[in-house]
Amino acid sequence: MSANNIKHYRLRLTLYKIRHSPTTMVGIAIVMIFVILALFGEYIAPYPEDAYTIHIERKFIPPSPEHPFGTDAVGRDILSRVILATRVSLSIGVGVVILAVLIGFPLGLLVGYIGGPLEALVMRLTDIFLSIPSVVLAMAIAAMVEPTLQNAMFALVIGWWPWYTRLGFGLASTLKNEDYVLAAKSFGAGWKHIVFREILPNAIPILAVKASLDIGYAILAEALLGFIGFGVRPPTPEWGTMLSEARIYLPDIWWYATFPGLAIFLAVMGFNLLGDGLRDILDVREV
Amino acid sequence: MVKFRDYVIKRALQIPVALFGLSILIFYITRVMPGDPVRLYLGLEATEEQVEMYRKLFGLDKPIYIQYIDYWRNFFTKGTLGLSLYTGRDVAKDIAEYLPATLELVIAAMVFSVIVGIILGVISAMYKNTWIDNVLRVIAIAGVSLPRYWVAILLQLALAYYLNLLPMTGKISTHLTVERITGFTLIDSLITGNWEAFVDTIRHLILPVIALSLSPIAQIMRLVRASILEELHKPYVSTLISLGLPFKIIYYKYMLRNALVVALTIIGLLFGFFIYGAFAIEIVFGWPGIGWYAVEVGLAKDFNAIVAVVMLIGLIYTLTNFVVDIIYAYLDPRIRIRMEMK
Repeated sequence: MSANNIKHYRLRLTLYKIRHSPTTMVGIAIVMIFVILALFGEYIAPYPEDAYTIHIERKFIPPSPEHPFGTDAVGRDILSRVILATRVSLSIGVGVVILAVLIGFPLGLLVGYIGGPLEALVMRLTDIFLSIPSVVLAMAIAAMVEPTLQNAMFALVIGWWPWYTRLGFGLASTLKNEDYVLAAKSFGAGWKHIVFREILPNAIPILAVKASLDIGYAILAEALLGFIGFGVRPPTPEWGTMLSEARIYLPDIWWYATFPGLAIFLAVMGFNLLGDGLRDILDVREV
Repeated sequence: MVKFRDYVIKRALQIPVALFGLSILIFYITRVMPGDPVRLYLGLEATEEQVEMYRKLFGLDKPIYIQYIDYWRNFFTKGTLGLSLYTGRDVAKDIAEYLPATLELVIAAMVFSVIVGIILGVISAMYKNTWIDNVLRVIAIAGVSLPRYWVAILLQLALAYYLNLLPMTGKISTHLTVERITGFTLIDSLITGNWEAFVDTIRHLILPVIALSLSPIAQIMRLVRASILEELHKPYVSTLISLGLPFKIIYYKYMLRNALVVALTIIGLLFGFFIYGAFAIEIVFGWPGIGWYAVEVGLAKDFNAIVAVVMLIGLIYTLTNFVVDIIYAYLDPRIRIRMEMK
């Protein structure tokens, strides 16, 4: 078989495995629905203007055909706001993980391969950030800065990147003794080639599994920041913030607290199912 | 074993280094990053004199490194952690007041989730690939995806409000008082023989403990299941089977024990999770603990209190991780040998 054929075969095998893993399929479906909602929310939401417009005359309508999720304290359609909030949560979740990977992972691969004093320095630096749960550090930062979408993302990235440095470090320390790396070295390849052309491609499956699980956890963390009042401020539609507003009107207005929470749950579960499925399909055991 | 001792010492030395770094980081976050924390707290309407007065009061007029040195000198000589903007008291006093309630909640939730998680994990592994296992696995994935505070709200609505089985909020009913000895209401009410308060506190604990435990139960369950199934493939199991030992004995006497030892190491890691998981739970249930305090001082931009809460959680987190690492290294000879090769 030529190299091209092998690639083709591998791809087909992976697709076959995905099709035969029901939980992965469910995960992909959920994630795709949320991606579509995030991209085209304005066209899908029944009352897209309700992101910010107030309709006092229709406040606290229980779930009904016109308002399947009911309306909130100022008459905004909750279904529309849950849909419109998808963009905020997904972009923070995806953004946090992308930034954390870009900052942390290459750094970890590099020091894992090179070692020496640089390794000691970088790993002690990650120790500092990992001496506290990322979410607690994010809360402290979010408390002291302006409550905007960018700052919520920034606060989470600060606590999250060291996990990818650790992951990259661990992978590079193991993979650097593999035969293909030693072969490349014997041909006189420099560290750039070895780290980015030999080690990185073989680290991708593990990275993919960890990243897809982490998007879910980042969404959960972002919603937590919103819920306790450290995240995006109202009236921006955001799931955690909506839940925290909803608490004021409990126990009578049960629907206000129910549906934003359901959205968080489903989105996080979608990414978890996807990551979990990828773990089996790509045969990754370390994460 | 000398090498193992070296590892313990080396690993132990990392703790003060990391915490020192964390203390600088959090000082930077609370005092340098926002520009002027007092201005941030007082808002735009405050006059210049008011701001100056507060700055003097909190020592913010001094250079940042002097503030840092003063902060820790005061802690180590006088046991104070600075004045809280939010409560107007010494932060150390606040922490001493709120910490026991959180520890009570967290320890109860840990015990509960370890017991339930291990039982479900064993069941899941025992009935591997049957419908029981599949249902439990789906529940496990759902469990780690649930926002705890949302579960807390739903539990509150269903069990406390509609069914009226348990109290909605608080740590103890308002008509009851417990003399504060240890700060742990359960222990204090037992010492003083206040049976009514003891039962009442347990009733108040049930909902927060369930809400806090769901996701750890799911994690413990998955880990226990995975480690039991891994044991199944180990050579000693086939050896024992070929020797004619009944599988039940192999399962309960050898496999389960090995699997649980591995699974138990996750508990230390979960401790950090419980601490910040308690933040939102304490808010929902009006539980007067560190989580509730952390959120209040965070919203008030109370920099002294934020520094103290972060350092406290950092200390607890690094110490538990240290203990777990040591146990893990001790139990797993591969790690010990790898260390000896280095």
